[in-house]
Amino acid sequence: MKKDIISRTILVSLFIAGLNYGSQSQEKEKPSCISSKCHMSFGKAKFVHGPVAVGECVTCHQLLPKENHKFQPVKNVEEQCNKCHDPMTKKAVVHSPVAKGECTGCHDPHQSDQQYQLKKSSLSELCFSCHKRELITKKFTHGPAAEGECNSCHTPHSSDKPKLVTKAINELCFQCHSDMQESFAAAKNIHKPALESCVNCHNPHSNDANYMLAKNVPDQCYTCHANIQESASKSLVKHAALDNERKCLACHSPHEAQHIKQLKDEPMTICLNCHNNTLKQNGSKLTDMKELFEKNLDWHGPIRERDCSGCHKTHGSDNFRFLAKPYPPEFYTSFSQEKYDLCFNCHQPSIVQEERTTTLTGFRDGDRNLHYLHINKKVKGRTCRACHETHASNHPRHIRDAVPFGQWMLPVKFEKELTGGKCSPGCHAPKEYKNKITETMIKKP
Amino acid sequence: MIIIEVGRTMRYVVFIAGALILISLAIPVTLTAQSKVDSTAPSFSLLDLQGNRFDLEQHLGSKLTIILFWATWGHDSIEMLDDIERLYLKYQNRGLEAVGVCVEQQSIVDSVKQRITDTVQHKKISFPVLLDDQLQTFRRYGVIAVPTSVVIDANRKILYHLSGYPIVGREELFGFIQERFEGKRKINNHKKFERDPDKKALRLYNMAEMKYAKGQLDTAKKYASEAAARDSGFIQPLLLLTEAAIEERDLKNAAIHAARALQLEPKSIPALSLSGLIAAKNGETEKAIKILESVIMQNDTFAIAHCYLGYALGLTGDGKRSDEEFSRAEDLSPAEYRIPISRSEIYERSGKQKEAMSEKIKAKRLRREK
Repeated sequence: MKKDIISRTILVSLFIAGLNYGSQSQEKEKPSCISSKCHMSFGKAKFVHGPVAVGECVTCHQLLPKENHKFQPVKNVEEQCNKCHDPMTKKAVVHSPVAKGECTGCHDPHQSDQQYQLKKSSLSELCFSCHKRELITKKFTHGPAAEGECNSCHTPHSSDKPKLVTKAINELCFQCHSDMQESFAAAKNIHKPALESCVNCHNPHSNDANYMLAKNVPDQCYTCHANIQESASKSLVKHAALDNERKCLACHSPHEAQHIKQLKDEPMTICLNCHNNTLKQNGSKLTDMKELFEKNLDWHGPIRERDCSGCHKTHGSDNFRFLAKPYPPEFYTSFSQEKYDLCFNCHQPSIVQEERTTTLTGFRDGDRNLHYLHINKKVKGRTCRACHETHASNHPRHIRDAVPFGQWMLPVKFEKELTGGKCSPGCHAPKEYKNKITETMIKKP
Repeated sequence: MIIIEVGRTMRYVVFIAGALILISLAIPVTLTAQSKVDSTAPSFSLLDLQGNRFDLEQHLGSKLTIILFWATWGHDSIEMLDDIERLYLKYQNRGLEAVGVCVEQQSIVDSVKQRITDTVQHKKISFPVLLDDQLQTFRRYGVIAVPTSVVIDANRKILYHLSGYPIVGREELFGFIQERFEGKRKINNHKKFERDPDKKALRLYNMAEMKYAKGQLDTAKKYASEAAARDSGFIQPLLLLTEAAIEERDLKNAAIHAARALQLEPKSIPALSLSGLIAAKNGETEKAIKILESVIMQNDTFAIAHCYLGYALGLTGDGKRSDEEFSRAEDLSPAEYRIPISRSEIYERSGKQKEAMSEKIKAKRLRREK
């Protein structure tokens, strides 16, 4: 600091002294190296080195003793420059020409039309005299790099940061991308690679992928999320949403989000962005789910929690309707627990395994378990879908109005009663059940 | 028990049942009465894995108790066991209790009990795990899906109920518990500008600001002009162009940019301050002082206004007041490089070259540090 003030004071004093010399015509004119006959081009450029401007060439060029117009060669450029300028090698990472003391590799010691007396016609020209121009010639180029503003991010002498950047990466990026900084500060969830460093995903100079990503989406995402790539590519039942134009970015925010899993909105809201009309897929029709939820108010648990991924594996699976686990699509099937893995992820498997119960379910006649009766059969067991609507219905326990049975909509006609219920389905004659618990039914532990 | 055939007509039973169905349709079915939020959780007394009796009443947390209904056959149950264990370890000493009620199946035989024990040991669960043999507690709490998490206070009042392991719901449950112990999370909603400018314009302006701070005026002006062209409602680029023009002693253009800025925001404090400075530099010191004093009346903490008022007063020869205003500006914003720049000019005019030089050096240093 003190040396900085002293060196600047020297320079300014030289300048003022130079002015004084010029203005006092009575005084004898001091011989100058720059005249109409010699070194006439010096001092004419836009930016002139201080000593040159005041004609004090001997500041750098020492006249040899007893010689006329012969000068000591400047053997150590760095040492010479450091006589006035602060050393530029103070920090941990030093630019190679600076480390080698090659100040005049970049700076013209006399004058230049570029600020800081840079040698080339522009800063980027100077940088690319050593660095490969291919850095900025890909399809998409970062603004400052395209403008040749290398010093927006890099310091040319030395830095505490790798690659001679002026600040830590995200802090550096936020200088221009201040909106991103604000988003991060207010976010509930920040994508980990983005939080660590923007350059985890983005090339700060240029690249062929959009947004200067290392790769296009979804390949960029698959760099870390290999399991999702596996789901998406190898699943037997694929989710058409993954084929949309925006790929992963249709649902996920790559930087920050107010929702978990970097989702742009609540899971169900995102799903209903597409499932808000009847969709055709592989010859079948997918119900307008938005309409279904609006018209049917008794929602299955995961739906109440607005989490379609409670049952569906969003990136694809091997099961019908890319369900996370097996669930029989038929009306009838022989019972095995594995066929109902999806349901038994949350619901008690013993609900269909115990012939007698007073606690497992209200669907019992006394202690006779009617789930067991309907489902647990070797031949023609009714599947859950025979009675229950998987998403939503207008009856308690999501009982359906009717179930597709071939070409027929088989009515269920369930009626809940105070102490049980009754069904008048198309399957059998109307039957009623009572689930009041009597003393003989209660098993003491 | 013989199943009653509907052939036997019982009109009043049908009428009551029908009425109840209509009522139940009107009320969304969410939770059973036994485990509704704000109701009282049923008490229970069950055996743990070692055969010891555990009474809920004797083990309530002073702040919260989490009752987790779980089973080894549910993958989500195992995940929730881990999550509750994490919370339990974190807040155990601050009034949180947890208890796992295993609802494995109706009758728990030895092999099933062993499976449960192995799971608990493998997961290193430190909170009590109980066996709900015959699923009485399962029924009383109206559990449908497993896991089910019920959070109660010291008086058994149900504060939170989560059925299943939904991705949003479970985060909200954890957030609820965390908030109870650590208070609400503070969200930083600070914005650089009141109005959200066009994103590209914002980046161009930020670049311009950086270049201006480095003294690269031509580049700064170029980016500021592009930013202003991109978003005509964005005032900051116009302010920067005004300042750059003043620095280049181009007062005519400075006045044009300042006028554009004031057209966008007539009450803009920075724009009014700059128009005061322009007036001062044009020799209209009385006008300048009037403008800047009114700016200070609106906002006494805007350092630049005090700086420019100090400048205008300095031009009139009122050294004392000028010094006061510069000092006030420095107190408000010690790192502001414009203050020593303006001050140095006043020193130069009054022949104080040494002081002027000192202020210029200071300005250069502050600008570089910005």
